[in-house]
Amino acid sequence: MTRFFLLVFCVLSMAAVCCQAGWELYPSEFTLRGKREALQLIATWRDGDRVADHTRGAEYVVADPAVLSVSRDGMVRPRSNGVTTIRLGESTVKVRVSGIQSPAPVSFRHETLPVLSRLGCSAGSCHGSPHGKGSFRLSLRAFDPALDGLTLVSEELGRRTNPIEPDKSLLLLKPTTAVSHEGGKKLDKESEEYALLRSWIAEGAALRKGEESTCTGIEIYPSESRVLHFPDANQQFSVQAKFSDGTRRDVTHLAVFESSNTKVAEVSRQGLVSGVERGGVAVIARYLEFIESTSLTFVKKIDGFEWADRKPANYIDEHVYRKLRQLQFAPSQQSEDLEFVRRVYLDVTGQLPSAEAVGRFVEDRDPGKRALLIDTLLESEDHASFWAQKWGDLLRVSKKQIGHASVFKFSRWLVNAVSSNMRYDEFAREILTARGSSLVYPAANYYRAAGNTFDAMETSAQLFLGSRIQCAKCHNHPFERWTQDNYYGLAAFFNRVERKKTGKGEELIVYSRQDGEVSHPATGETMKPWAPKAGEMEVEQSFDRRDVFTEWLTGEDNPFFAQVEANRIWAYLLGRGIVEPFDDFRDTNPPSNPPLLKALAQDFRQSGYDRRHLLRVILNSNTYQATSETNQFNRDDGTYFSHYQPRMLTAEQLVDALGVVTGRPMQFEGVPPELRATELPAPDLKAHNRGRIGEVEFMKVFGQPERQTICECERGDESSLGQALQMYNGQLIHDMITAKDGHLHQWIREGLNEEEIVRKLYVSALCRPPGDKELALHLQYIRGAENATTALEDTLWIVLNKSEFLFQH
Amino acid sequence: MKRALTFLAFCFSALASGEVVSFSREVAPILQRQCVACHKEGKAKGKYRLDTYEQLRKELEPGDLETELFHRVTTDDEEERMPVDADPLGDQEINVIRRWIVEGASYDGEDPGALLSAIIPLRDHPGAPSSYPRPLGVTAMVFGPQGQKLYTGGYHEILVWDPNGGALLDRIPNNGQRSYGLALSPDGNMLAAATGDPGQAGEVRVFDAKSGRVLATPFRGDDTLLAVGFSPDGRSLAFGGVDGKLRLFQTETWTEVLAVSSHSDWLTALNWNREGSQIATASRDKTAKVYEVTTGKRVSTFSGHSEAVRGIAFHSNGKEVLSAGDHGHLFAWGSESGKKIADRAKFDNPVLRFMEGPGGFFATTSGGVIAQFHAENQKRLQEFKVVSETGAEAPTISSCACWETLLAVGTLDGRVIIFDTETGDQRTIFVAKP
Repeated sequence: MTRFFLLVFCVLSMAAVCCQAGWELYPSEFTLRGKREALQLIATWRDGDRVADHTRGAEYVVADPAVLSVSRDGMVRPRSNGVTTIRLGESTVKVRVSGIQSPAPVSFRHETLPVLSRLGCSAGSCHGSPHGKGSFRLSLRAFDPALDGLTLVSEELGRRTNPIEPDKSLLLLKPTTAVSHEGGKKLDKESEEYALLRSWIAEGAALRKGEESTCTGIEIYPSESRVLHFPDANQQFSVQAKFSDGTRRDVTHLAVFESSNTKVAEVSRQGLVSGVERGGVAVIARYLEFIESTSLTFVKKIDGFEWADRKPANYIDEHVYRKLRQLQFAPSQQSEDLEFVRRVYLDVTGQLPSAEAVGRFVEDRDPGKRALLIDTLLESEDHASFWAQKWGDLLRVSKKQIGHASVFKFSRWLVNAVSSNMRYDEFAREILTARGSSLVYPAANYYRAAGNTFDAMETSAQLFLGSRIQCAKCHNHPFERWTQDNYYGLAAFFNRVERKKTGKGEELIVYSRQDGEVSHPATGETMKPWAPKAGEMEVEQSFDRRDVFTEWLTGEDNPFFAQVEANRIWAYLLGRGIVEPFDDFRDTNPPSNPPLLKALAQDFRQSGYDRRHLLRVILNSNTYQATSETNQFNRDDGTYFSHYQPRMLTAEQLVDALGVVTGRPMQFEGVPPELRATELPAPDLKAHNRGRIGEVEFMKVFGQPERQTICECERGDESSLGQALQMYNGQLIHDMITAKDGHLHQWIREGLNEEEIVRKLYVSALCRPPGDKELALHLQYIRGAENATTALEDTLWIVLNKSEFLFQH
Repeated sequence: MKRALTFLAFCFSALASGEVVSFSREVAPILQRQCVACHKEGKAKGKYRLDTYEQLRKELEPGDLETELFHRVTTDDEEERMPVDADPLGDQEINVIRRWIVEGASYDGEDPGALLSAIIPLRDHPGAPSSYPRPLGVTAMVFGPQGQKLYTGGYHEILVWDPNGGALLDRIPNNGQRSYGLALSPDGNMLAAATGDPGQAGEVRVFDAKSGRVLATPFRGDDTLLAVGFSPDGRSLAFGGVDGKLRLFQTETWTEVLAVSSHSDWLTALNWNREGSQIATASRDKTAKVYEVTTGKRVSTFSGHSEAVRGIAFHSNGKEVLSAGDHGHLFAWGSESGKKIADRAKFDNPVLRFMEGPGGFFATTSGGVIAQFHAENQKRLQEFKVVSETGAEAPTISSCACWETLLAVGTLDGRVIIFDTETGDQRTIFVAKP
């Protein structure tokens, strides 16, 4: 009731102020065929750019109530054949009702199965799991209707349906928990879903294969992204399905709705989205094998928040600030020089800056010194090896996957690619279309790690399309548009790759055959090469299909290629992708700032796929250079880049930093003696040696990936008890601290006093001098100790165990 | 508050009437309906079992309402409340349990270790509708003495048909909802039904074949029975079902002689050897087994079926067993060794029923095919086909029976078809629907 008054008030006040304000009803016209059809109206109040959904509670006026009725939640149900209009303000919907007297049997395919999906019966965690539950197995989200028909109607001699007393069917008794059901109560006896399932059984549980028109797609409304303002943070959705006979049916009551982030917004079974917190979500509607989504942004007035204009350094800040302003988060201040210098060194080179470098930078008075430092670091060798290592992770450069000698060759190739700033499209082409001897063309090792058609396709899709397509191998992908057809269509690009070992060392010859087709496992059909948006492709027999794929991939209008890499680079620098996880692009995982991602991708493309350019632009933005300290208006933000997100050093960064601070770098086997952790070509080069397992463990404990999968997630970023134990009293840390040839003992021998030593430790480990209080505490401890050397070692231990050292911030 | 009042009202009415809560009549049905699915032998969630009084008794003290068990069903905390993810027990149900505990939590059955489903008093089954709104799948059938009658499983009844023409002769009421196995004693006097309400209850009922009177209900369980068979001398009745156990009762006193649990999934079919000394069983656990009747000892296990086994029969030589199932193969294997002897046939569809008749062995499939095999060497003799009425896919054959040269099959779409195995002709077809 209150809501209704608010609404009226809202309508009146808005109408008075603005003349373009008014109601919009969706759809503008519709035909209801048969007594069981229904139509979900969507009532939008639009005032300039601002929209609010008032589907529930709007005062719909029906011209001829004999024809149809409209419920308070905007659901239209037919009463008799005829035509009438529904009016709300100036907006009208013309509805025709026909076939009200015709029988309207329930469709197994178009109604029964969608209802089972909607109730969650065929979800992956329930009866849709590969072995089902309780000996009752459905295909995952009904992707195999024929099998589900058998299961429901004939399996186990028809025990699940009861044609004589439909209400006593196991299919209804279980989900209503009239018979105890391990999955709990899923169905209410009074619900529409129950009525539908019951009718289907009462009508004889008919499957009617091939007698019905097929569904060709769905439309979701609203389909354009919307910004909703608290407290009007609700949005009803509607889903309509189009059929091969040209008809259109409202399937809102049969579709499954999901929210990509229930912390921001929840969605009811009926398709009503309710905002919980400010932020963005994707709302996904699924019906049969079709998926559509719309993104919604929820905005809230935050008490005391006022946007303070600040000058963007480049387009990145413009997009980030726009989003922050909309969501009422205040960006953090710029970082201080000391904070920035440590951060940018670690991000670009993987190394801590030396005390001298820190000093030089801080004293430099040039206002453009940050940009200059960024340029210098991007040109450095350290940068090349550190960033090549990231690609080494993704490309599975490890002894186990590609062999000892190949590890060195391939990783050198990667380092060269970064240091020569190879165009990214060129880089992708070199890898994807590698042919010839792996000794001459190290990129051919890509097909050694990706040793078969499906691995090569899945790897390529994940690396370059940002898609985890594996699921679609066995069934239509549960979260995405990817279907099984798509999977095998994409695989057809990689099916002709041949890998031949010559026996000459690790040499592998990669080439492409001119024959070999992929057939669909279910239909046996030969699959033509297929790519998203481009569809099926005709490729001449003599062509290498990989060339065609790469041409499509790196083409101007490929929607994935530039975005995926731009997002990856962004994620490496900001600690979180705009799409996160950053190798998991899908409708159900929308970017947190779509215009930003789009702009980055466009810039990247226009620069000629210049990765160093993109790094430079990001590093020079205020967004990257913001301090990690939060303020009262961005404390809760972990998604929209209002402040720098501190994160733990990677295993390799940490080991190198420990080496630099203690002067006792870790030694690695099987590589030149001076090689640092951030330069290691592979994680598994060391020969097995029981006595020295501890050192290897250290890197593993801190998340060094084994490079056995292409998932970025293989690099652990979780903190663990094992890490704390290593840092508190691990052998490695102990040895580094107490080493007689380490920096600390060197300084003691040189006769530096306690204060000088503490200062040196702080600058080398934390890139800043100690504060007065800190210094006083350390000195008090050292001077009060019996053994000054041990006390100094303790001090080093304390510094190394500070989060400030262990984190990048 | 409301709950408390209702409780008081109950107490008064109980005091007034002087009735004491009966465990078997009042408490057991609640537990059976609400708890047992997750707290039973083989699936004791949270290590609780509530499927027998003995097990339940471990969780409570007479007169004590502070137990975990009582707390779990009465708490308002949805995280803790049982049954999980379902509506809470009704006030009336809780009051019954409360009163029973307060009154001493006593047992009014005989064997405290008996399954709740077996101590809940026998009820008369609801009557069958005089006319069925739709055909019901014919999932069990057997010929009566001299082949004069054909019994089929109806809805809460057994239907009696004239095999010549398909007239409905009689209806035997008071049976479980569906029947999955029917057997006639060798003397023709007793008709045994493996029956039940899917997912809820199961029974073996024995009727007087002539009068239709219930002679005995030797067994009750919490899901359907699927297979039943008299020993050749008629003195024992073997049966099994969803609980996977093979049980043997003697038919004079209807006492249990044997209960063997060695199948890990449904027991789908069973067959006695000629001497009545061994029983072969088929199971959804993908195995078939042979047991010694006197000791219950397992003689052999055949694991050659890679999918559920649905039908089984001894070869007349007693040394071979034939079995078939979902993957469509008919295997012959050694009854002593459990080793495969031969792959006798391969069908495109699952074989759901397999039996021996006077004309040899018969296998029926979910694709509408019945194949007849030679009794000695299992050469395929002939094939019968059942087509659907509408021209759609062939119906599943869900039951079969033989009498001399008569071969009757029932389909899941509710029809009975009778063939003559000598001529290969179809003699009768009718919808088995009153």
